[in-house]
Amino acid sequence: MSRLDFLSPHEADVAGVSPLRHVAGVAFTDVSQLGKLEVRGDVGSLEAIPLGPGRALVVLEGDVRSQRDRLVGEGYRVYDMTAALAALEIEGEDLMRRLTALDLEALPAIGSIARGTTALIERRDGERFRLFVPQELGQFVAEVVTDMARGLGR
Amino acid sequence: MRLSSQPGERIDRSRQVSFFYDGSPVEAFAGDTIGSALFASGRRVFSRSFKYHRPRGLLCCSGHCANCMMTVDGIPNVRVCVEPVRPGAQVKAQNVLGSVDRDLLSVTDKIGGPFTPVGFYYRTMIRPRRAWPLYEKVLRNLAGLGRVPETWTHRRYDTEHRHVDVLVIGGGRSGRAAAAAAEGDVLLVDERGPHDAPYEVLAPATALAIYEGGLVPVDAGNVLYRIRADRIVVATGALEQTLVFPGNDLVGVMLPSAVRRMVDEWALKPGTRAVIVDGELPSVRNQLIRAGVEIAAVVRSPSQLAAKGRRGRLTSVLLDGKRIDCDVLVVSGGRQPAYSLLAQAGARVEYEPGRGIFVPTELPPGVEVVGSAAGEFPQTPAPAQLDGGGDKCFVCICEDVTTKDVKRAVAEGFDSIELAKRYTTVTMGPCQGKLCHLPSIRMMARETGTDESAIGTTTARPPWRPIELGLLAGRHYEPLKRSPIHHRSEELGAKVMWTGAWKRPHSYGDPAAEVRAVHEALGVIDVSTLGKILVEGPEAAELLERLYPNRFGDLKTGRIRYGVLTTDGGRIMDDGTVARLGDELFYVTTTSTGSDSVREWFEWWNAIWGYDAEIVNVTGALAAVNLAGPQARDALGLLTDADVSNEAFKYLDAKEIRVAGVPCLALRIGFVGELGYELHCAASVGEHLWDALVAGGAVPFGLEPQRVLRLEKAHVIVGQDTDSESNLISAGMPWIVKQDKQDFVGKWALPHVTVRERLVGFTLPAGVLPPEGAQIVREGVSRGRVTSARVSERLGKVIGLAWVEPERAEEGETIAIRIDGVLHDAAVTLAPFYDSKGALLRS
Repeated sequence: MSRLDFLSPHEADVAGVSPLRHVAGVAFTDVSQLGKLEVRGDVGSLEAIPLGPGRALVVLEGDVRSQRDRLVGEGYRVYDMTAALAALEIEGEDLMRRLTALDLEALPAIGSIARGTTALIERRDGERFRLFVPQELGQFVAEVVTDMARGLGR
Repeated sequence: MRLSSQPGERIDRSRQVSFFYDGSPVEAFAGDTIGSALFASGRRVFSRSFKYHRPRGLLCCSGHCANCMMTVDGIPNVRVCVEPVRPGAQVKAQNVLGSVDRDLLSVTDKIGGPFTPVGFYYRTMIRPRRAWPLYEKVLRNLAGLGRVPETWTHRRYDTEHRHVDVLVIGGGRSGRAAAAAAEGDVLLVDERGPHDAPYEVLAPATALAIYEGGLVPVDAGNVLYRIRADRIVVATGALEQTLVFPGNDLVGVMLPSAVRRMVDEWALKPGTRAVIVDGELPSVRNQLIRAGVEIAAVVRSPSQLAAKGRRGRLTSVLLDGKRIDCDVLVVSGGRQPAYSLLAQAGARVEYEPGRGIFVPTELPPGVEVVGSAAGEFPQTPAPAQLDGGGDKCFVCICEDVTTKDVKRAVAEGFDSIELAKRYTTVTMGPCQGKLCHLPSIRMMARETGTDESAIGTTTARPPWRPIELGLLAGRHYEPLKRSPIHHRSEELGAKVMWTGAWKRPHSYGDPAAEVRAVHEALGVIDVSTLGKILVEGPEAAELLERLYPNRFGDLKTGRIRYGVLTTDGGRIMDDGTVARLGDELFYVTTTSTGSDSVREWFEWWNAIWGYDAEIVNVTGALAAVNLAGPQARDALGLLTDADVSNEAFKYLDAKEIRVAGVPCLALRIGFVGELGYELHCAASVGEHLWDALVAGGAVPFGLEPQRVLRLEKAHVIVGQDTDSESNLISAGMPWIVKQDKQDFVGKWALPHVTVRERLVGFTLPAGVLPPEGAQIVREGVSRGRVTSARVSERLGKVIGLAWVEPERAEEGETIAIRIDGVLHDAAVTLAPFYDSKGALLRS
């Protein structure tokens, strides 16, 4: 049975590069290197961001492989989305209000930012937010965030 | 000239600001508006009217009417009565030929009347038709108000989203009281300046509309706020209406609001001698007296009134038969609740004859109204028209619509307010009916012999106040998808082109050389944009078996099969490859543009069928490259420990191997016709894989050489060579359809499809390249079309694909293709142009 290793940048001999590497991270912190596992099954008891019925995203900083193996061992179907999603951390409700129509008091949620780009938005502590966006649109989103921060005089 | 310090004045006399009017400096105080500063400098005529070019002066001082519209720093139609002064601003008059004081176009007021009756533009200047270009040129110059500058420095506009518990619209007494009493997260939006309050105030800002779901867009200058509130309190107050009488537009005729703001806020003296026709607002009289204006007369409800003037400026009034000299006439046709936002939200509007106003009723849930906007003020109805003979009598000041125009429209049969509005343009000017709402309805009632409730109101539409289009547009962001290898291509000097939302390399400088590299040695192309979907589960095979017309249940692990998706109607929808990676695991590729729609298609059908199978879109998770050319095997072998010999890794095999230290899914397929491997790996290590392949001698090639190469193999591009009517039979792929399967999407339709045309290959001599879409002609009639055509250097001729009549779809048939009006004979071919048996792919 395939372990789908080709999905996992952690299985490579070289370190993966971030899709945001060409944008100066003044307005955001690039956290794209975080491990991201999409888990399918009965995810109700998992510590994870819900993505929809029977789907959740586990975000982790540690060893992706052991987490993946653990979850597979528990009977979940697990897909490594580490490389699929760019991740940005943003400070400030004002900047977030320019980015998304989502209610910032009702996060995490999936919504639209920057002309229809789908993003998963999570509130960290205080006024710190984390955005997950498709990596192919990561640079575009990072540029939009930078421009919006400029509009706020940052 | 200014009055002595007034209680509560908004100007700061310690801070001087200067700007320019028509190039000359104007001194102002901080807190002034451009309009108040110009008035203080002695200016009385602010604009010329829309149609007759009559002089117009400050009328409402509330930002409602069009009388003070000027061009400020290149932005046309700015209402300077509410536009704060800013240092160095360049203010110019607009819509004039000459100057605002001497406008040559005012000739239309003197002699143009007979030629420009209501609706003249529907019936004059139509004949002779050949003169239209001339008319159009003249009319284009005369029509409209300000002009958008041809050179433009982009102003920044942003959009911001807010969620609040309570939104109060309007910062008057009632609005402030409602905001103070409200609980939770309260935001008050005020058109005037900010004020200190225990709640949040957004000012100066204007609520433009109330849309479904409590969405309120708010114009705050450079930021458009999109506010969602659980509870909306509308406190928009009431709007002073104009009174209809001869000369009611003369410079010096003012609404009470104008006097109030001039004296109280800007310490201006409105004139020297005033007549007041408005007994219900004694404060205006006090304000004028405080300003040192002599009060010549105060009349509550005259039976006869006419304003007389010289050069458009008020000199006297004729009041109940008596002439009184004055330079200020304060009049009001009563107040009307500003209910527009409520009507947009779904409230009903009813006429109340006792006070002669329309009031909002039956408010939708979550929307409330307080204060004057609810009609909470005493009032007696004003007359439809006061007559005194003489000058024009305007119902709509913005659009220069006179009582005569309304009468004529009714006489011509436009007897409903909605029709008369469109015919006369009454209420359609820049104030959008704010000042002429009641007068127009009163006139219509009088002329049609009914009452105001029977006439009703026109539809209240957003925006409540005109806004700049730039504010609606916001920032110019264009979503751009970049492949994980995008930057490497840019570094290599690729010529980049848009394909959907992606930017992809067209070529790296020399498409022909890139084609040669693939044929003769080794090429590599970034195909990361391909759609990629995992289908996993005990019933994954059943799901695919039922989605595709061809068979997948019998596909062995480690093998690949080409698949075409069809719609219920049997039409070609998308194509790609399906690789089986395990008993319960399949890897599906789609076209670059099809990844989302195919994933949705899979999920939609699986929601109906309910198979135990996960559908996972991994398009973005993976980079993909196609390594192709006779040297592909050797080059790959140098970068992997896996056995890539033809025996161990056959054509249409799928294997998970490590290449240059990167785990890859390697698919041995051949879209470009040479020995080739598609390598799919995690996106973030895609660059590393690419670098290793290029370092190994692979020549990067772009989309253009790829198109030539695939055309040599007669490989179809869905969407390019097929359209929404194409089916597998007519596209020459009947072998894909396994009609003996129990069920698949499109099964019922495929036996019934009519083959009206067939997709075939054709060749032409080199040098005769038909454009895509070129027509295939027989007996002077179009019989088909070319979908793709390229010069094949390797084959020494032009090759292409075309839809032709079925009877022409025979090897060696001749078809005629029209190119630049000339017919060229082309030879039909049914087999691929290059390596027709696929020997190279299998080698």
